[in-house]
This record gives sequence, C-alpha cells and structure tokens, in this order.
Amino acid sequence: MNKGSLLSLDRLVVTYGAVRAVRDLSFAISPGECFGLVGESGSGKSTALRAIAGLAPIASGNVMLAGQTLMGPRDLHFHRRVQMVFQDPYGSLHPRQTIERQLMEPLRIQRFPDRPDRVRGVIRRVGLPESFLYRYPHQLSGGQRQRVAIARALLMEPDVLLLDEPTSALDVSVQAEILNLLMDLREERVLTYLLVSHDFGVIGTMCDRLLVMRHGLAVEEMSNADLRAGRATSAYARQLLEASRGYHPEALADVG
Amino acid sequence: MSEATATTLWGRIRSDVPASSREARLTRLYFGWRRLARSSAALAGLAIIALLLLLAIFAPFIAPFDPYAQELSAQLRPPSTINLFGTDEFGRDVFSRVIYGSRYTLYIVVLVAVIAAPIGLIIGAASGFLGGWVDTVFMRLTDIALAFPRLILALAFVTAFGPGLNNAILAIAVTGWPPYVRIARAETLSIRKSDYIAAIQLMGASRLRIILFHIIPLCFPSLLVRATLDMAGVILIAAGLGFLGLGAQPPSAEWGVMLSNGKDYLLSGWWVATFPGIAIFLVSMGFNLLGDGLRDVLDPRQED
Amino acid sequence: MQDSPLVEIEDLRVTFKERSGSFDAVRGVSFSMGREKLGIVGESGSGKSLTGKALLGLVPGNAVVTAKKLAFDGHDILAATPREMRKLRGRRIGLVMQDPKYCLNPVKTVGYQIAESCKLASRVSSADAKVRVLETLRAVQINDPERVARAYPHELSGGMAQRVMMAMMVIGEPDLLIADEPTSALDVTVQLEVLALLDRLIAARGMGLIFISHDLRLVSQFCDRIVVMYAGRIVETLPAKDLSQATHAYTRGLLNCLPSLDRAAGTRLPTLQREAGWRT
Ligand SMILES: Nc1ncnc2c1ncn2[C@@H]1O[C@H](COP(=O)(O)OP(=O)(O)OP(=O)(O)O)[C@@H](O)[C@H]1O
Ligand SMILES: Nc1ncnc2c1ncn2[C@@H]1O[C@H](COP(=O)(O)OP(=O)(O)OP(=O)(O)O)[C@@H](O)[C@H]1O
Ligand SMILES: [Mg+2]
Ligand SMILES: [Mg+2]
Repeated sequence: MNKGSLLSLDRLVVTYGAVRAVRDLSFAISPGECFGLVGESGSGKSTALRAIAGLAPIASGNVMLAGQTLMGPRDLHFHRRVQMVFQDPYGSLHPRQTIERQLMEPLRIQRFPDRPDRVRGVIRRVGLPESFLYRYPHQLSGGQRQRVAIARALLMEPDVLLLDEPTSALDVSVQAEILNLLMDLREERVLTYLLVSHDFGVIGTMCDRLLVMRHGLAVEEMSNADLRAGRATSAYARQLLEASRGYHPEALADVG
Repeated sequence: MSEATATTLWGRIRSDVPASSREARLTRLYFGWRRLARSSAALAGLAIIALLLLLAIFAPFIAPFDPYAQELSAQLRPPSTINLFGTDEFGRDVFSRVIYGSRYTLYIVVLVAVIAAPIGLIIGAASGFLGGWVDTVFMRLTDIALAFPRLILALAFVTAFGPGLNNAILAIAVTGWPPYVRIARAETLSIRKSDYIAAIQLMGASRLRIILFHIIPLCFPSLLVRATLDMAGVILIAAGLGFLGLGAQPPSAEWGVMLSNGKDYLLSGWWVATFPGIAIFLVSMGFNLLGDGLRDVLDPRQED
Repeated sequence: MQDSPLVEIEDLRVTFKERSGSFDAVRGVSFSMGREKLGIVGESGSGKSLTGKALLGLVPGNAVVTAKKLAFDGHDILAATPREMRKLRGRRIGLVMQDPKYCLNPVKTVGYQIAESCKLASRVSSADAKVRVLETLRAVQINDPERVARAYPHELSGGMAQRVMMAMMVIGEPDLLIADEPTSALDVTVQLEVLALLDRLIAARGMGLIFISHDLRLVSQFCDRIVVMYAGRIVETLPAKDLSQATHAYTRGLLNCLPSLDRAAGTRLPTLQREAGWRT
C-alpha cells in the first residue's frame, strides 16, 4: 500500500463461523482525510470498523496504522490514537452508570489531568446541558445518547475516528451541529475520519473519497467529485445513487 | 429544558434532578426503596430481618436472664410472665436463649454470604467473560460441586473436619458457591458481547478492570436476590447441622441445638422446642419475602 | 375512510416526577388520524418516542401520562386494564422501537421471537409460523432468511436488526403501526423496498401508520401528513407534499440544515438558531 497512508486495510477477511462478513477489503486513508464507507445493509461496514479496532476476528489480511501492522490485542497507545463511535446509541452506553462516570472512565484509564473540566467541556461541545451528566442512559432520548457516545470518543483526543453512522439517530439540526463540530476538529487537530453513512448528503459534505461495499466486497471507489457528478461505473453504485433521490412508488420497479 | 432546580439535596433526590453522580445514585436508591415499599410482603420480610439485627445487637439489654445460667429448681416451667417462653430442662430461660440465638443465626448468615457470594461472583464473571479454557475448567468444577446434594456434602465436610459452628459455616459456604457461579456466568454471557463492553475495551481498560467495574456491578442485582433467597436455606441447613449435633455444640444457644434438645421433652414441655422452631421459621420466611421483593425491584426491565 | 378516527390524542402530557423538578417531556400534543400515513419529525429529545409509547401504555415507570383524550379505535388507552393493553399491543397496534437490538431477547434466536409474535397475533401451528417467518424476513429484504432466523440478535448488523423488528411487527398485521425511526440504519435501496412493503400493507389492510423519522425528504415523499414537534409540542401540522412551503421558523430552519450534494464539500452546514418563542 502507499507509504503516506495513516490507516490502511490490505485484503482484510473477517469470518464469524460460516458467515463471511468481510470478504476482501482493501483501502488506504491518508492523514487528515475523511474516507466514506457506504453500501448495502449487512455488507460488513461495521465489521470492518470493528476489525480495525481489534473487536472482530481477523481471518486474514492486515490492518496497518502509520505503517505498522496491528496484530492481536491493541495496546493503550492504540486506544489513545484510534476511537470509535458505535452504530447503536442504545447499546453503546453502560446501562447502570451515570453519563459522568462513563465519560470519566476513559480519562481515568488513560490518566488525563483535570478530568471534570474536560468532561464538562465535551458535553457542552456536543450540545447537551451539564445536568445530563448525572442521568442514566435510560433517561435520555436516542439522539441524546448518540451525542454522549460521540463525546466519549472525542474525549481521548484521538488521531483517527471510526464513525459508524454517527448521525443517523439525530435530527437534521443537531446533525448539522455535529457535522460542523467534526469538520472544525478535523481542521484544528488534523483528525482522520473513517465514516460510515447511508446518507449521501452527509458523505458528500464530509468525505474526500468513498468506497461502495456490497456482500463484504468493495464495489467501487469514488471521489467526492464523482459522487456529485453521479459518475459511477458499477451497476450497484449507480442503483444506490438512483435510490438516494427518494421514494417514488412508481420508480421502484426498476430499483429492485 | 424546563427543569426548575430544587435547592435542597432531599428535594433534588425526590424530584429526580440530581446535581452529581453521588446524588444520582442516591436518587436511584430512593426510587428503588419506593418500589420495594409498595409491596407489603417485602416490607414484612425487611421488618423481620431488621428485628433479627436489632435483637442480635441488643441481646444483653433485651434478654431478661443469662441464657446460660442454669436454675435446676426451675426446670421445664411453662410460659409465664416471668419466663415468657418458659424454661428448659436445665431451668434456662427459653426467651433469653432465643434472643441470644439470633446472634448465631446472623453470624452464620453473614459469614456464608461473605464467603460464598463473592467467590461465586468473581469466578462466574471471570469464566463468562474470559471464556476458553478458564471457562471450561471452572464450569466443570462447578458441575461437579453441583452434582452433590448440599446437605450431604456439608455433612461429609463436617465429619472430616470435626463438628463445630465454624466448620459448619465453612461447610455451608464451600457447598454454596456453585449456584452463584452459574448466575454470574449467565449474566456475563448476555452482556459481554454488548457494545458498551466493546466501547470500554476500546478505551484501553484491562480485563480485570472490565470484570470488576463494569461486569460485576451488572451481575450484582440478580446475585443479591439469589443470596437473600438462599439465606432461608442456609438457616435451615445450619439449624439442621446443629440439630444433628454437627454444628454449634450444646450448651450454645443456637436455635438448631435448642430444637434438638427440646425434642426429648415435646410431651412434657412443648415450649422448649416450639419457640426456637418458630424463630427459625420466621427468619427464613423473612429472607424469602425480602428476596422476592428485591427481585421485583431489581428486575432491570421494570425501569424502562 | 372518513368514519371514526383510528387514533385520537388530545392534550397529551408526559411528565417526569412530581414537586419542584417536574419536567414535561410532552406538553399538550393533540392530533387525530385515520388510516393514513402520518409522519412525525422534530428535534432530538422533543418527545416523539414518548408520544408513540404513550399510545401503547409503555412509558417509563417514573413518568405520568395525562390527556383529555387518548383513544385507539374507540378504546380509551388511559382507562384500559393491563390485560386489555396486552391484547391491543400484540394484535392491533405494533411498535417498531427505535432501539431494535435492545428490545430483542439476547438469548433467543430472532426466528423464534418473530414466530412467537406471529402466534400471539393469530392462531397458527408452529410449522406454519416458521414458513411465515421466512416469508416476512424475505419481504423486508433479508437475503438469507434461513441464516438470519437462526441468528441471535448480537449477530445481526444494525440494519438487519431494524428489519427483524419490522418483520416482528408486520407479521401480526396490526391495524396501527408505530414505526420509530425504522429505516435509519438501512441503505437507500433497502429502505425504499421496506417502505414499499409498508405501502402495500396499508393499501391491502387499511393499516394506519405513524412514521417517526429524521429524514425530512423521505417523510415528505412517503407520508400523507406531517407533524413537526419541538420541545414537547406540535409546532406545525401540514400535508406532506407541502413540507417545502412550511411556515414555522423551526421547520424552515430544519429544511435549511439538510446536508445536500448541492453544497460544496467541506463547507459548514447552516445551523439552527433556536428561539425561546418556539417553546410555547
Ligand atoms: N458477531 C457476529 N456473529 C455472526 N455474524 C455476524 C456477527 N456480526 C456481524 N455478523 C454478520 O456479518 C455481516 C455484516 O455485518 P455488519 O454489521 O458489518 O454490516 P453493516 O454493513 O454494518 O450493515 P448495517 O448497515 O445494516 O449496519 C452480517 O451478515 C451479519 O449478520
Ligand atoms: N426515564 C426518563 N426520565 C427522565 N427523562 C426522560 C426519560 N425518558 C425520556 N426522557 C426525556 O424526555 C425527552 C423526550 O424523549 P423522547 O425519547 O421522546 O425523545 P425523541 O423525540 O424520541 O428524541 P430522539 O429523536 O433523540 O429519539 C428527552 O428530553 C429525554 O431526555
Ligand atoms: Mg453497521
Ligand atoms: Mg426517539
């Protein structure tokens, strides 16, 4: 893979028993880039992100961070550099801990100084009032939980953020705020994003390049300009672009 | 948010608008307590156990007589205003002995709970979370331990190490941990694949930290319920061992021992055996009621 | 279909806790609907999910629900006994929850769980239920229904779990389906297929649908009517096709925030200046 890339996958295969969730996936992301993953539901996008984070069993292939192949359990340094926002806002918060405690935990593990200030700062940055720190997850709405999860990932000040549909549980006004925050941070700190989304509007706003996936395989890599111009070479990518224009019952027959 | 802020701590707790994590925990406790208080059976159980606690602490002040003082001139007196529960074959006051007996019962219950539940919790959580050979080894051990009937195992243990209260407690504790392992492991299995555990792993938490701070607190409620319900059985087994002469030894004012002595006088002095029997029954029922109530309160599905 | 409305809500309030700190999550929501497709959009935390849950009597234990009227097909929900509610829930009203994975039982296969809800709704044999399960899974665009039916919830992708939940609710063919962000994790082609399935059910069975979503464009194309919520209140109700001509400042602000391919990449999206006046 090319030398300058920060994060790259090389012929990654992930299997769960007989299920091949990711069959052959390669891409390389350079520092400061935002790379989009789109594709069919169940095509292995989340699994690819989990594999990078060391949370999915890699059957073969490599994950490389800054030129080094990652193998086995990840170390503390890796967790400092790479963070992830999970797809499901309901599943990714501990049900019996207050929000404050859950945000403190990563800071404690990584021995950050002035923890309370950081926690309060980050909860405000994602647009939640400080009183939410003392709530339990079941007292928050879906979008509020997702913002807590985003806050938790930002706390560690990582270089690479793996974002698994970070805004699909948010209404468009909050989504705009979060996307703006992500764009600001990217400029401030040269953050690198790997972003999964089903919304071509989001991908088009955020990403420099994107990869279309289906059945655990890469279908096509496109640039942002390609996306805007609707230049897709593969049939599946064309179909996706077509479908993203919206719901027209009459037109549905040709989509399927 | 249109949250009027309550100013006092109590106000904030009652209105569920905590201002710190500690207050949030207190708030949870408060609402848990309110749910518990809604069930009169659970409250009755709690009252019985609170009474047991008070009796054990203040026994010297409550008991009218020395439980060990023999008064051979006053053998087998029936209940009266002086000897509320009558006297036994050595003229000892049964009421005082029953009150002092609560100390033994509490001692047994606390020690068994302190030994068996944590062992089971840690082994179960570790084997569920770590899986692999750790899981296999622990589960086989647990299966073996579970295959023996509990009372028989305790009997064998006491016979091997000699009768006595402490050995009896050890025997009960040692035979009592396997169910806790099962519960903790089952809970752990259902949560270890969840995203929040993955998220904590991704923060760089060690496995020990995850098990101790993130998994065990989740197993704790079901374990507490089980332990409370188990205590009823523990009391019965302890009394049974005492009855068979393998637990506490005469002249201890242990309820099982008193029951065993009293059985010889059932016809001439029914009260000697009856009152310790009622005490055993009441306390074990108290634990059962409280356990049922706790199960309703701690069932996580009720909260959402 | 102009006879008695399927759902009537008048002045619905959901309040958390008593005394000084009481917090109204839903503050006087009223609407009624027949057998139509009603979309609900609105701010995160504005009480959309709670409104849906209130209709099923499923609000969290520490919440108090009050309403002048809360009725489903003539049944008063507030007065219904737990037993009547259970009957309504399984057979006549379906709720696709926002958190599908959390609602599924983690230790039972999803095929078993769908079959259970099928049996609850209509008396069918286990064998028939199994066939229906596979059919329904296929209808929600799951490619390999046999494998998915045998899978446990944690083995599903986010979008699969959403579709499983959807299958579980439509298999009972309810009269009213409340779908809380049911397609947020689906890719666009699958999303369209699932919507088409709902459309077919509505046409065939005269089902009513409450569709909670953040996807403004989708809602405007798919639904008949849209309710816009902000901070626990309805700020605007309008026919779906007129969404682009919305008059309320909040709705207009929302439309303005939509990320679109017409904007240059990397430009900041316009955000909403929330005004205190919208709350009242
Ligand atoms: N723990 C697991 N055990 C078995 N199979 C799994 C597991 N996790 C994922 N899979 C399977 O792997 C495939 C890919 O799942 P993944 O979650 O990566 O999809 P996705 O692209 O993120 O889809 P979505 O957009 O719906 O979230 C699915 O078919 C899923 O059933
Ligand atoms: N158990 C609870 N205790 C206290 N407040 C709660 C509880 N459940 C929900 N809330 C609050 O009620 C409000 C409405 O919640 P609801 O889940 O209906 O929002 P929503 O409109 O569905 O938002 P989203 O789009 O983010 O899912 C939120 O502000 C939330 O914080
Ligand atoms: Mg996914
Ligand atoms: Mg919601």
